[in-house]
Amino acid sequence: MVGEVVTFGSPLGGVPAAPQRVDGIRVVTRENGRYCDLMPSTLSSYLLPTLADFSLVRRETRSPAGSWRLTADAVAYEEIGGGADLSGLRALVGDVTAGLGSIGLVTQISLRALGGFEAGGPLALTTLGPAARMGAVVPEATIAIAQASPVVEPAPAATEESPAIEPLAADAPVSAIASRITALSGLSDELLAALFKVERETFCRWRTGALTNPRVGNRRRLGLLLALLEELQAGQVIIKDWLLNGAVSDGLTPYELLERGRIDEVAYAAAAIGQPLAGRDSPGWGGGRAAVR
Amino acid sequence: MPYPPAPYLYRTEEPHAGPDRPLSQGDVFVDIPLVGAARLHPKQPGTWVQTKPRTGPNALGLFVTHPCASRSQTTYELAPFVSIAPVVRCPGGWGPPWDGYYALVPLPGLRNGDDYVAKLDEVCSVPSEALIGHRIACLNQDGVEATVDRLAMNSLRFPETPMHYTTEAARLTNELNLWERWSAHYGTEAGFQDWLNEPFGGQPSEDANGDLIPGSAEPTGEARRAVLAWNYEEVSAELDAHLSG
Repeated sequence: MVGEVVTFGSPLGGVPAAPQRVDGIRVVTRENGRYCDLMPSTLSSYLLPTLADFSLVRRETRSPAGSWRLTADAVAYEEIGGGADLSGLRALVGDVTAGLGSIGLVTQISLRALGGFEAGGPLALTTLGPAARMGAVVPEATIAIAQASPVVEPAPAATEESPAIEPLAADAPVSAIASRITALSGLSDELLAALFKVERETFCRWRTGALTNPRVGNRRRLGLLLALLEELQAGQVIIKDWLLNGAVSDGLTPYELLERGRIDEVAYAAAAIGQPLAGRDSPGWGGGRAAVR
Repeated sequence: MPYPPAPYLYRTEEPHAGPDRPLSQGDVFVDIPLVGAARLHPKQPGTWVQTKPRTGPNALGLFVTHPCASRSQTTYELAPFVSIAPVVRCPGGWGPPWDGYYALVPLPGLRNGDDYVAKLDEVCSVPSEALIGHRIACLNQDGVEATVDRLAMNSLRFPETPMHYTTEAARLTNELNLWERWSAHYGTEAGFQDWLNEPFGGQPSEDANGDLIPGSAEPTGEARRAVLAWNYEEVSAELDAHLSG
């Protein structure tokens, strides 16, 4: 049983009709009441976290019942003991995915692909909504799914009197995010597509809603870029001009830095617009990019 | 900024949480030596005495030293001493959305479902060796960002939350995620930072159908470290290839 792995299907796909948001999953052992939390480590659960974004559950959560390990697209249950068996694992994984299903793309993790799941098992689960109180040990329920909070209403549409400056909802569709990026940046689909290494048509389809399933990395990058542009907007920057004509680092414009993947430098520069750019600690612990310059 | 209700990547009642994850800012430890402020000697006026280090199951602390300051720039090992903010039970009457009290970093549900806080006005120096094996929680990316914001608010009353915090939290979290996998694989933290300084292989392009185009990734001359916030998935794939090779 050690190393038993159940593989999920592709995490990409459509958005459920009534998406809800969860902030994580709690696993509680019945044997000793110990628990661990699986939390998304994405930006405010932005753009629908997938299993790949959830924490690994490691040895510190090991108990007489076993331990869990979540990888990019699979759940492995190690050192099963104390009455747990594969059916318990399947039941647990089923409920995990059912709970995660409410957050959107993970809905596409097909329960059917995992076979029939039966309730009952040695562990208790609960999903953690945004308002959930952390640390409360779930009673001896065998498997319990506490439903998440409803999704936040999307920001109101822009009008001439009130330009759309409110941040988009955390669960905003890709089309809304791509449209906001286009509106804020003033850049063409071609220039924006180059940042994500996709065809111009692909970015256009994201924007119009014809394509709703960018790869995980590009979903996350869309969120990062939008956050950057919203900050620039709040600073009343002429965004397009600054992106294409400002010289920020190494003689490169912010857009060129973004093309090279150096968004942290662009964000650092954005925070200092109008001010002399202070010297910055080397990124990370090892001396930064100098190694390849 | 709104404080995240679920700021933890790992959280356990007993140490050591995330055994392969390098120690870093935002980690919470138990049973570590915490030294309070010196106090006047009760019988010898004008004489200051050092308080006895507090240890045991209630001696909790939050790692607050910035990553750049907590590690050697050449060996990447932890500095001999790091700054730790004592962690105590949350004062009654204070809770979400955790407004005000900028000297306190909220740690909701840290132990047995109870809320705790880190006291930034009582930060003390703790030997790094005392932290090893004593961690009970690590912050996730949202937690790191919120903590950075809280540190800035406490020290500077800086009222904004720049995007810089977000990208820094992303970069730090992504780096630790990869470093943790490296350590789990090799059984040592050594070697990872050198690997991270190597050139990034580039982000592959997608065709009009969204399929990756084989061989389309082109190195830009950037180190993997420089693109961690933007190209985490691609750098992670390079680490996968390295570890499996």
